[in-house]
Amino acid sequence: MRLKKSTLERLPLSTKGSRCELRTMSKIALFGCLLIGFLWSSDGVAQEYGARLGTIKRGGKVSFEPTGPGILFDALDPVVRKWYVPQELYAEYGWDARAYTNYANQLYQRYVSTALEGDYFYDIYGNYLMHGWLVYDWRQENPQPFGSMVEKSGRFSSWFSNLVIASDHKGQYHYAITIGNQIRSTLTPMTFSKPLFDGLQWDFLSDKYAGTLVMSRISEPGVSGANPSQQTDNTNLIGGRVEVQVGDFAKVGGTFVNAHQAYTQLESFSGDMFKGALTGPQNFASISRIDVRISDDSPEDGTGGGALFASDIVLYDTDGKQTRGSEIGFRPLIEGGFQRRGYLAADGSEQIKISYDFNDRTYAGPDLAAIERARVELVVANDYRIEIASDQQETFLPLAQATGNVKDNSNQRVIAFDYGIPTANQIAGFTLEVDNLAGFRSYLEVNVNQQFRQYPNPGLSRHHVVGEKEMAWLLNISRSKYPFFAFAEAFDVSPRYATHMYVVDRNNGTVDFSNDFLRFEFVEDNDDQDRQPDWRRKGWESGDREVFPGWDENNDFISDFNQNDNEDSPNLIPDYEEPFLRFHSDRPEFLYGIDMNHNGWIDRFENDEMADLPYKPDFKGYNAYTGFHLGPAWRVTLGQQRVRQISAKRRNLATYLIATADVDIFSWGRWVLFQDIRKVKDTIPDDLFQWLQPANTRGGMRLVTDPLAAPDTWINTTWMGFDLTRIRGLRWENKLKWQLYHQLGDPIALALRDLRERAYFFGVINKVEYKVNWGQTTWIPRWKSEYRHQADVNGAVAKRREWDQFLSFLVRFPFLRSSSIESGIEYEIFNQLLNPTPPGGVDSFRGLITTIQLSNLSEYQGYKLTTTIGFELARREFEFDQVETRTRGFVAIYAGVE
Amino acid sequence: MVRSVIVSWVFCCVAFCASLVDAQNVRTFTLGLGGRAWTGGGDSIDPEILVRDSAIGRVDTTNTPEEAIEFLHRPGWISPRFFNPEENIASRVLLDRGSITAPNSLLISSAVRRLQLLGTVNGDHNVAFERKPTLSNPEANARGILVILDFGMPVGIHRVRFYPRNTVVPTPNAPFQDDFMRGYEVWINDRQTNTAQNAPDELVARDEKNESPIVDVEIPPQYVRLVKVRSLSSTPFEIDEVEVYGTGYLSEARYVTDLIDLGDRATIGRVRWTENTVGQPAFSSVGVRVRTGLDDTPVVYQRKGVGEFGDPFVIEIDGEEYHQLDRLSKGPLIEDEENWSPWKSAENGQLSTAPGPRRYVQFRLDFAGRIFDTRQIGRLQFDYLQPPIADTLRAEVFPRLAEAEKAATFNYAVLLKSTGPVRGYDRLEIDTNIQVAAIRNMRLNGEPIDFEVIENESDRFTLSFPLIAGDGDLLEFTFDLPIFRFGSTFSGRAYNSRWPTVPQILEPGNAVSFGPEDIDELASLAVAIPQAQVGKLVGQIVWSTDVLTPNGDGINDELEVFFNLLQLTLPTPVSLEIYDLAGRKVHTVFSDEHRIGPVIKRWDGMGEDGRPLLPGSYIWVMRIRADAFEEVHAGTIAIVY
Repeated sequence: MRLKKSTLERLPLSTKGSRCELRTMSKIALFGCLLIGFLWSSDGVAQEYGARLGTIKRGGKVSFEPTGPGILFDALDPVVRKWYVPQELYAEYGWDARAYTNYANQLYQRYVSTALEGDYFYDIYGNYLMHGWLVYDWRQENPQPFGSMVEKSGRFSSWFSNLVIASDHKGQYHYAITIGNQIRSTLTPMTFSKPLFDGLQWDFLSDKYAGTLVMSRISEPGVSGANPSQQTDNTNLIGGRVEVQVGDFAKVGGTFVNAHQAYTQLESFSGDMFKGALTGPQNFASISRIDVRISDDSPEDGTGGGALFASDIVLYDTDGKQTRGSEIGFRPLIEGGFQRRGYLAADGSEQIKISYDFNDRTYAGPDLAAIERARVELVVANDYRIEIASDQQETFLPLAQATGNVKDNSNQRVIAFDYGIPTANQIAGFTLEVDNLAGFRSYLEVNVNQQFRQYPNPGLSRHHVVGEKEMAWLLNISRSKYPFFAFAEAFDVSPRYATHMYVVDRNNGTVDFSNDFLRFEFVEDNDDQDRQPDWRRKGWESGDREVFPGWDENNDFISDFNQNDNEDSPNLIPDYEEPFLRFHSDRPEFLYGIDMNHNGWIDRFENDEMADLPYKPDFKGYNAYTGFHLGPAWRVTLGQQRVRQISAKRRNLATYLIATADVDIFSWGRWVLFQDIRKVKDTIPDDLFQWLQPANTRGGMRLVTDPLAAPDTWINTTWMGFDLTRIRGLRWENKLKWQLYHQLGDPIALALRDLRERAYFFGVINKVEYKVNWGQTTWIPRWKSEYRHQADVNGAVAKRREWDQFLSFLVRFPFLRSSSIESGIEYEIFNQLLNPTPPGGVDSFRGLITTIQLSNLSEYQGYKLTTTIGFELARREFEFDQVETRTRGFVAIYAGVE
Repeated sequence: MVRSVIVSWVFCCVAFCASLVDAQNVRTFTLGLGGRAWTGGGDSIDPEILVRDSAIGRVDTTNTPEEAIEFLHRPGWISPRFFNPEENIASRVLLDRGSITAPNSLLISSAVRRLQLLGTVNGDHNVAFERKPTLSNPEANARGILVILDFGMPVGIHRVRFYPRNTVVPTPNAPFQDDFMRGYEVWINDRQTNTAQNAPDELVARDEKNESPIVDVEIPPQYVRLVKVRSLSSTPFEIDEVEVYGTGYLSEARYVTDLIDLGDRATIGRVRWTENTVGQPAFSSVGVRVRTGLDDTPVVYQRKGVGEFGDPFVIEIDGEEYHQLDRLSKGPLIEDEENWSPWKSAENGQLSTAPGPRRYVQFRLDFAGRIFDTRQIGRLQFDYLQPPIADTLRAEVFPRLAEAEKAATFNYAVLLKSTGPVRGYDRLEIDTNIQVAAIRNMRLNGEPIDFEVIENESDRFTLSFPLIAGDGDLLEFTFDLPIFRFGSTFSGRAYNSRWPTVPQILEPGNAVSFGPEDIDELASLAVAIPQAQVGKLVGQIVWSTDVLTPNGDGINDELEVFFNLLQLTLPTPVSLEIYDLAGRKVHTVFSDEHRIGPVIKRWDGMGEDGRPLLPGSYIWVMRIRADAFEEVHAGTIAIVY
């Protein structure tokens, strides 16, 4: 309960002024006592929260609307004395600064923070929103310095773990606004696909329509808990996708992704927002030098590199006047290049550098401050690669490259381009998806990539913009009607189709085009499909140090070839070489699968350092196959692949016949066949970055070069496996792999490239295990044989012919209540079947490994402890060398909860 | 009598000296085998190479930056630096681009750390890098401590060895043989560590329980830029020396000659060198570049200052003065583009395209290769003439735009300029695409002079005329030929027939005004074709007849096809095939390779079997199979008896 202010106002005033009579005094005292008593009783009933909790009243209204101060009639008395508006202290604590305070009876109340439940927030119209806390705030205001602000308060991470979702729905209509630091987000595989997107995603879905909007300030998306990040120069991303279901079978989609530099001191509508703006440092001074570099796009052949016939520059000033460099005697400084008749040649590693230096004494063109556009014209031919830089952009950026590997000047042309600093990258496209229309399924995606550049001039607010268009499309179509099936894919991705953008450096507003840490990717490289992109890029600078696609089928982030390795207890021996474990784990050479790029690696195990586009830039071609099922177990496929590299005269042509079988043999076991024979002409290098584990290491990423082993080659791969499962306790597995590379090319050319005319791998693995329980004791005898006969495609690598056998025997028996003792012995017979032992090979030897281990399971302080104590003795006796003996003793305790 | 003897003697002496001057032979400058030693760089003025590794840059005055050149492995020859397998090259980290660091050795002053690290690679066995408790740092952690040797460039290595003091070399005053690294890892990388760009470190050795004071790790020979030694044990340790044993050749190396002072301006002839390949030629190369100058400082030194009114300025000073300036007064160093040409690539036995005549010349040799594949250079030579043929021989051709294929007449002018004695020229060699139809109307300073066409080939013609040596002498002549390519350049060389081995390249530029349409700034030796014609490989195809009558009456028994191949720089396959109206190929008239220019072929109407084709209409198809695309032309022809 409250008293009217007018009543309270009169209380002190009535005791001042003229002399008071005793009667009046006693009335006042009585009234005061009554008042105190009343206040006392009312305070005792309920806590007074004051105006902060929304009970302020004026004119009889409860309001938090931003209306500004009004007229207070109570303060209209014409007195000279300073009049204080009774605000917080009076309203919440009843305290008048001039009134005597006595807490004898009414005990003192401590100050209570008025912001315990947050602040008041209003929308853009001034509507009161709520009383609470700001969690996320992103706004950009132009024109003003530091106009781009992103704030993620500490509550964004501490309360919401860096993810906030606002959603609503009614009937079939749903939408959600998701703001997070690590959002899995995909529009289409060719335009935008990231496992970690730091920004905002706004999704809409109905029965027929779907839409998504993604937005982020990608140069500095904000750090939770840090001060609001206010920037003048920044890079923004905006993208979206709309999908419409057309009829029962088709779905049409449109995609748009744009990343652009922004400079908040400019007016928003001073240009096309999607074409971006030059940042402050980029537009700080006029361009005074433009450099063009011409080099050989295929330097490995040493001839037919870029040919420069003529060059010129055209300058456009702000008055619209056009000045041609050659007409004013402004000639470039040309460095490098071999002089041929009529042209300069950049063959092999040679480079031609053309510098237009506007500070040169021969320059008599328009004033630098008046140049709004500079156009470079080059007459070039052959296998050129053209890059451009300037004093405002020191890193050379690619501009054009020749198609194919031309050496005879037949592609001579005039290339004219406007110089500019990249300001935006945009992809717009559409998709058409057909599902089961007359048995056909197809997916078509067409994208246009536009890369915008602008010419700096500090005197201008609008700059000359130039854009380049690159195309990318793909089509997948399939039909299946038992027993027949067919599939075709075609694609064409321009060499300079780009799904990245170099972002502004938050520290200085510059853009460093040589720094990959400042490169934001629309489509990430994430070959192992985990939550971490493989490479180190803007937004994910730490990268992924362990990438083994396909080798981690149990998703524990540990290579399945070294399953017993972890950070706390590193294991430096791959499982297929480790005693006892090697019974179950076979070498990767014995794996099988499809290798469509013919680099010697099964495609599903490949890791590269490229964006995960379905088809790589700079390639076009098709692949088509058809086939039929022969019953439920057999399948035969015949197909052809034609892939060409656009910028070079390289191709990957293959015709293939594949037969697969998976046969259950009278419930005794399973027989599997994979037969792949193909004729290949492959000159496209597909280098990889593979996880390898060299001896005595924990493994790491290594560059693996494509040996280009199939220039004109028959490749046969046969893999057979048979597992017997019928007899209980008995496990019998057999694998055979035979791979042959038969070269058809010129033997001299093969010899020059160190390629064997016939390279092969023949390997057989047989293993038997029988588990017998005798009382409480378990006996496990095992035998494994691994035979390998190999001639690598690289002629410099020695042939191998080896036979390795392991005989082991394990016995396990319980000991007391929760302990067990396990003992094993493994005898290895390694036969080097080549004489003499080839370089890098191992001599024949006999090895014996004996181990004993006590395992204890117990509970301790709520944890379940597993304790192992053991000893291992290994001995190897080589045929021509000394005896090696190795021992290992160990005690280890592992604590867990289950 | 005596007087006359003296006069005659003096006259003879003067005549002899004059004849000596006049008959002075072409001089040859030789660096390397049979000439000046490579180690001396040409025994001239120290080179000045601008290195932009800071805001103001610095000048390198050595002939072998980074000591990357080998002089001893093959006496008299140079190559990228070769390392014997027994050679410890760890001290190379002390060169400009190299470094040795211990980035996580904190709690130790940087000066002390730097001295200790220096002591681990300089052969000083009394100084070691220590990671041991001290009074000021009693809990120095040894685990994880890294020592990184950065060679600044890839070097071939095959072995890494490190040890504490008093092990390999007795140091009784420092008996720390037991303070070896009890657990270690050795990592290498051929680039700067950058996992973002496929450059992760590679672990080559690891021993958690090392018991050997001397750690000796063999590595397969390979290029390495970084060698990292990491301690895996918390036991304190020290490293007396880290030894890195090299092998093979450096992957890249540069040799820069002195600024060769020829004494006066000179016409420089063909540059030639002897080159040898080690290993596979495909994996190595050497690039020779040359530049010429008017003075002995290719770098502009500048001093910064502040003017009377506080306005900053930069003025040019000489190098000596520059090196005495304090750091704040040194202005940015820039290339002297006014007096020195840019580096021009040279080819063995060819004339350099660097401008001349000049007094100063400098060469740069850039080697590239692999660990056991490289190049060696034995001798670098060039001839030069002093006085030069001319100070300037500026030439231009007009018109500079002509329609392809069509016969055109070109005017050619050469203007001689001299600032002192010159030898002059009496022969010109001009490059063309095809043989010139006619050369006429030669004039010197507007007056007709006699001339002789010495040769007229498909790629050049040579003219001979009386010696021209006067300052301002203008030689003009006219020739006729069609052009077939954008950028047909009539470059040329002037010879003095007494010293024919040292020609002087004609410098494109304004020599004379050929009329109001001749804009001085555009003057050059190149002729363009209209842009619309760029991109076509064949011009007009002309048939002598549309109707072939192979009946032996002598009329239209044969037809002749004429066309011009355009644009191409290499011989290209061209074929002409005859098809019947059903699309069957009935004859291939020709299928062979042709160069740019006119082609004439005949056909007598015979088919593949040597018999006349049946009367009727046929389709001819001409294909030009160029690298970039196949250009196809087709038409019809009739055979009538």
